[in-house]
Amino acid sequence: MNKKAVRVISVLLVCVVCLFAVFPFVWILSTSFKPAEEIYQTPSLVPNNPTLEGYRNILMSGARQFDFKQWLSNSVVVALITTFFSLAIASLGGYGLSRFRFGGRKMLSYSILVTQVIPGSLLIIPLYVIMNTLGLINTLTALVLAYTTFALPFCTWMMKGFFDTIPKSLDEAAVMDGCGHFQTFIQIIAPLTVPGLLATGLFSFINGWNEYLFASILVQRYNKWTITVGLASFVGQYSTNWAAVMAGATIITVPVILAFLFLQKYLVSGMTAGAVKQ
Amino acid sequence: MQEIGRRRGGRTRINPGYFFVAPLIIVMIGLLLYPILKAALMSVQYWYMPKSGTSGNYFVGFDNFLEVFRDRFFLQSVTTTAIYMGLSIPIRYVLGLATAMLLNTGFRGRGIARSFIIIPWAVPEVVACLVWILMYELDFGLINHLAMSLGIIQAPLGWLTDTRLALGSAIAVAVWKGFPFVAIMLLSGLQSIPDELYEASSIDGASAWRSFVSITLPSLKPVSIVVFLLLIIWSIKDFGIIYLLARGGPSRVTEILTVYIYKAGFSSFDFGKASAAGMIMLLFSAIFTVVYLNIVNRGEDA
Repeated sequence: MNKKAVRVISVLLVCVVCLFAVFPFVWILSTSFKPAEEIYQTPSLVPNNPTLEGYRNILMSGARQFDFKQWLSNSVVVALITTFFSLAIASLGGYGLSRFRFGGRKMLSYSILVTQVIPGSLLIIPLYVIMNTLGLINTLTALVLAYTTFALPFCTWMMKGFFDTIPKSLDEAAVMDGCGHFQTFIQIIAPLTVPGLLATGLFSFINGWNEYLFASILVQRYNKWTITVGLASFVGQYSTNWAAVMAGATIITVPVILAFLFLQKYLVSGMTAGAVKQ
Repeated sequence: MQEIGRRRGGRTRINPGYFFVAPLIIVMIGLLLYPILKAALMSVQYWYMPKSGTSGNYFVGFDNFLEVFRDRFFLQSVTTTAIYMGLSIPIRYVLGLATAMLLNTGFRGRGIARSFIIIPWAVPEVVACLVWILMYELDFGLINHLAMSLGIIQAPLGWLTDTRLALGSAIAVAVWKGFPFVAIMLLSGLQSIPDELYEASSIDGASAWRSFVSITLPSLKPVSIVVFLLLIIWSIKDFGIIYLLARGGPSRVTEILTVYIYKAGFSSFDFGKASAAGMIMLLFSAIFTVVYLNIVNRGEDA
């Protein structure tokens, strides 16, 4: 086989893999622009009579047990507050781990990695009991607490990675000039990691935005639902308005995809945690 | 930097590092360590909510664990989890490796292809399940329609409702959602292999297969080990996709361990039994974690 043939075949294979990866998303888009009855006819990739009906239906508020805009705003609120707290705590923690040698540092690093394996379906049981005792069931506070906790270990790990790339001589110079450690962190080092803060913040935002398990248990009143719980409530229903559901799916998915494209290189470096050596 | 936090002028000061990590430690103790200990405690207590005893959550020894081990559905869920992991992990890996190698060949539009590949990873689980449920639909689903027009099947199949197909269909979705991660990780591994290695081997007359076996695979070994262990650790706790696609059904054929625990907790409301099953699961994950930590640690020291 000559080189050209190999090339053509591999480009063809790339197309096949891309099609497999992208197709379900394309199907979401396509379905979201179909009139409700067209879903039940012979499936076609391009809607025969494209319409914005699905989007109108999903955004039309006020129906009983169905308030997409409310869920959307719940999700935004939860994800934003989660991002704020996890960024604050993770950047402090990441800086501490990156810059100081203190007793128990190694153990803390280990604990951070260990949290990766704790199954959510186990944790939700005691968490439900604890939140119930605290009277936090059906509040967004419960979700913020849970999501911050789960985003933290990975965010801390990412932030530590970013701080590690900044020369320590900068801190030393600042301390020499009479800066306190906290002042050094806020005024000198943190501004240098803005891309890192952005990536980490996006990660924790997406985490809260996509989460389903905890939200489905900790908030049960439908006006406190997040978008994932709201959309999932359509699963298994008869006479689902698929066009409206897919319109909702499009609205919540597109921002995440855009964020992921920006995030991808940071995610890999955070996850491999030193295993991929350049 | 070394002297920070050490003795200064003979006076012991608190290491300032502690102030930075304090909030992190407080949150991890309060919302991770405490709940885990609470679950451990609950696993040896009476927590059957529909008949909450007058004597509270009294100590029952290992009754919850015994009950779990006597439950044939628990044993079945362990088997289902093993099948789920045994199939989805290798398939995700092989597909991810193939994708990474394809993306590593220089062609125009490679950046776009890479962005396309990442999409399944980004799509929220709930959305992914919704669209696959729609595509798997018995009467108007795309997959049945395509398979029938191509003559692969004669009658529409209930991909998620047929007991023989449901687990496989669910695994397909998990593979779709999970292979981009593998591909992107392995791609970064591939890109760190120096081109000279391949040039040298092609000068020596080695075939493409030969250089794949003796250059590519060995160079990918460190990343592959991490990817594999992460896949294992994550697949044990996979929940959303399987649960949302079929709620563990039909006839419990897709009921993996996490779904079993979830149902014991929030369908039967036996928190004690659910905690016990959860602790058993944690034990499984712990074993893989120790291996994972050892390897990650080795990578850091190297």
